[in-house]
Amino acid sequence: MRYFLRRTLFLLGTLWVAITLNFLIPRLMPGNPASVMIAKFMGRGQQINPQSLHAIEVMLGISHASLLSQYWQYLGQVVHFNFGLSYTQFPYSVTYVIAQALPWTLGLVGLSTVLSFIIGTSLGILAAWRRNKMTDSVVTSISAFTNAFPYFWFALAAVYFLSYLHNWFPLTGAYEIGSTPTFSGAFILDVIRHGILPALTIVISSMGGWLLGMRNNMINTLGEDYVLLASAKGLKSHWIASMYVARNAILPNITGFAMALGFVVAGSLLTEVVFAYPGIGYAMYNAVINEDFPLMQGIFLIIVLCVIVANFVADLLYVLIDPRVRRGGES
Amino acid sequence: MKARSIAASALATSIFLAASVTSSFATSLPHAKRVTMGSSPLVITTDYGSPGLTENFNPYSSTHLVGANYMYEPLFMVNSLNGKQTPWLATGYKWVNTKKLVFTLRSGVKWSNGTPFTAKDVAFTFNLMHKFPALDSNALWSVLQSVVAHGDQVIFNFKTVNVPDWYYIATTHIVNAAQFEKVPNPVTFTDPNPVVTGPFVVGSFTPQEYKLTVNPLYWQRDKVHIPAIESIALTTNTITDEMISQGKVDSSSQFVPNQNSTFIARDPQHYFSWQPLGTPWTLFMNLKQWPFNQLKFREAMAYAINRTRIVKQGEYDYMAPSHQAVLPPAMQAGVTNPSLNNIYNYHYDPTKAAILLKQMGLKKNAQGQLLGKNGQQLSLTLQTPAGWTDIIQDCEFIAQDLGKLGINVHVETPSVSTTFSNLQTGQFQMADVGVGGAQPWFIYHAALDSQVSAPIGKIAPSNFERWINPKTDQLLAQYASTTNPKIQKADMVSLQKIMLTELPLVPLDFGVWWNQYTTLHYTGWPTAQNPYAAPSNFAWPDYLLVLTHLQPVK
Repeated sequence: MRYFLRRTLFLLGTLWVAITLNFLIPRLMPGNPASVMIAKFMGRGQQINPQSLHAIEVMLGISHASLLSQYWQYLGQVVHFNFGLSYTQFPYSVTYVIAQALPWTLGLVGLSTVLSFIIGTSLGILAAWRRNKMTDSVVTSISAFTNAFPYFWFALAAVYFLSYLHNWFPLTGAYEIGSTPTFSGAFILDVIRHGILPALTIVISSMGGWLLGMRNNMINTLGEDYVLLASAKGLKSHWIASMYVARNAILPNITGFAMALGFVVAGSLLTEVVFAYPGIGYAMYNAVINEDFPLMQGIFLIIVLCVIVANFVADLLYVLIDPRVRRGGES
Repeated sequence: MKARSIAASALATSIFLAASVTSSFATSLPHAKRVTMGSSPLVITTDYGSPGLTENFNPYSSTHLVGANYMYEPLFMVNSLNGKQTPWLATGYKWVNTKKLVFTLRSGVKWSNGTPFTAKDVAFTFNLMHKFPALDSNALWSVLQSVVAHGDQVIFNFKTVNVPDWYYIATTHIVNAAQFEKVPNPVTFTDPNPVVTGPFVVGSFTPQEYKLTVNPLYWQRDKVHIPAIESIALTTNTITDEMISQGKVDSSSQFVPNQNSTFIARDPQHYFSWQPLGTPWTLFMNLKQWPFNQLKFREAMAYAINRTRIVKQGEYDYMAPSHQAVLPPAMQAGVTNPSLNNIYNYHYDPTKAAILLKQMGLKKNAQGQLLGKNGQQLSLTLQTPAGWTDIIQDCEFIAQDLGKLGINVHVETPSVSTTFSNLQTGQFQMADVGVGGAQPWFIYHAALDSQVSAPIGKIAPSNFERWINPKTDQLLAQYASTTNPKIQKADMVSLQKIMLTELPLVPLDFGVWWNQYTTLHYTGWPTAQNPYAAPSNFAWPDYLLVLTHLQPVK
């Protein structure tokens, strides 16, 4: 119980620090979002009246109040999940922009993370059990290769060969331009067709990490005496592999997985940028390059929140699956 | 949301069908004229949709979709290239005196919901900006006293004389009073179903594209031959370039690298690009600092920089080297004195630049470094925003040119907002940014008027170099307070002469109106021979002229 209480306090403390930093950092930046907007028009060659600076400031509601009073106001807004209005997509709210992007990210990155965890971990078990055999060397060397590959390059190469040269997959986006998002069979098929290549690149590039981690843990655990004992008892090898070795070896991977789930919300920045996929990562990229502070703050806060909560859940899960943590906390 | 957009697209289809029926059979139009309609929609790319478009057709909003410019209309059409005026919702205007401007409105114009367009709508449009300063993006109410409707006329009373602001009044999007009266907060209103006088109305909207369909009640219905506009969201440059080069887009206003080979060469019969010169890109120097406060140094800069190389190597030869008079060539016609431009012709001449620096008393050391006042090498910074890759390249060329004179130039690329914050507060030495303006007076006003400058540390809206000169101010003010074209012309030439002899700024090159178009489906685009409008599809109000000029290909 004390363990749970301590974790909860830690969670709340981290949250407060994250929220406060999130409030402070954009306000420490020099410059003014209104002039960014004007600069954007200028960069494009559009004529704009310098006088509009004032009107845009009024429109965006740029506050000149004291930092402390802004802070209180901000805390009140955060509690109500009100992150203000986006600068670039004015007058839409940050919450609206995030709500538009989040389902795409959860679908694409969430599914590919789960898939790559399941495939990677299972292959890791297999590789460790058949270590130093053909299967192991093939699987391990391939995953060491894909794991070390720069993702950006890999994704661009995939787009170039599979979409641009061969037209096997669509070039970009989450669905065909011109179709209206609905829950019709045709539209869902279209979304799946657009999702395959980005998902494939994520799975292939992240699978190796799970595989190598699992294999190493397994091999460590295989050296334990109780494994030797189990073999001596004459237990079937697949039973030993799954119930004795893998069950113990999977613990670090579970923590990693819980954290990875937290990071799903952050989207896969590179994937979404390469494929122009309308998710959170792409929204964040655009918020950053356009200095859309409210949107950046909103997205960062959601990410921090998810990562902290995922960490918390992983901590709690550990207690359930590993009794040592429980006892360790009380001794 | 979903139901509405389906209904809207059904409506769009029926209008589309109606339009094609009219074209193949005889006519049922108010003008009793047969209008040939194109068989395909006009496909354009112009709005950035990242990750998706957000629906906003509110013409007051600085973040509205470009489509609002094809639906709402101004009182007068003003060609952004040369200032040529065409009566639009107003048939004429008259300065009763310098403080009273009267527009006479066109009769017979209807809103897209069938109600008549009146002077009340025009007066309402301007009075709403007074009520909500966030809508007044051209600060019109800093000079206006009142705007009142009177029969078929609208009277603008000024508290401060400002004749050039005619431009901003004439080109304001006019809204429907009955519609906007009911809007509780016009600042955050997204206007999903605009009531307009213009050639198009909203058909359907998705985050990746929106469709506009022809307005059957349009007052120039006989001039519109486009049944619908499809505007596809711009995502990444590579994808857009690909769509343009495949001819999937009829009109686009993008920077396309090497477009002669990547775009035009693919189908020279049908793919074109006419990119007239626009915004002058300029070397701003902080005139509150040595050595920029020395005229000789500024002259040396004007001779030292190889503008041709900037344009050829930094800008794909799309742009053109600028002239010291700063105004784009099309704007100068009939405004400035061409012979003065020939006399003060600051061409690339590093030898002359070196002589000017020597005349300033600056010495070189044995390594060829030009020494500053402290005996060290003269070392200057040059700023331009991060991410503006072509301009950064231009700055590197400038640094090399000045390096040949022994000056060490360090190119800095802070974020966009930091760069502009530095310029506004005067925390810079040199910078390469644009100086925009819709008409000659606005460019000189933005660049040189002490009213839009400020002391170092305070925010200057545009006169970043801090040119504080009573003669300049007096000329600008005199121009703004007279409707006499002779006096205005003389003022402009005097301002031109100040630019040429005092060099408050050193112009580098002219930006262009980005433009790619195909003649696969429509012809009649603006060209160098017929520059009736600025060709970029985001150009306001010009593109309304383009939309009423295009003819379908048979």
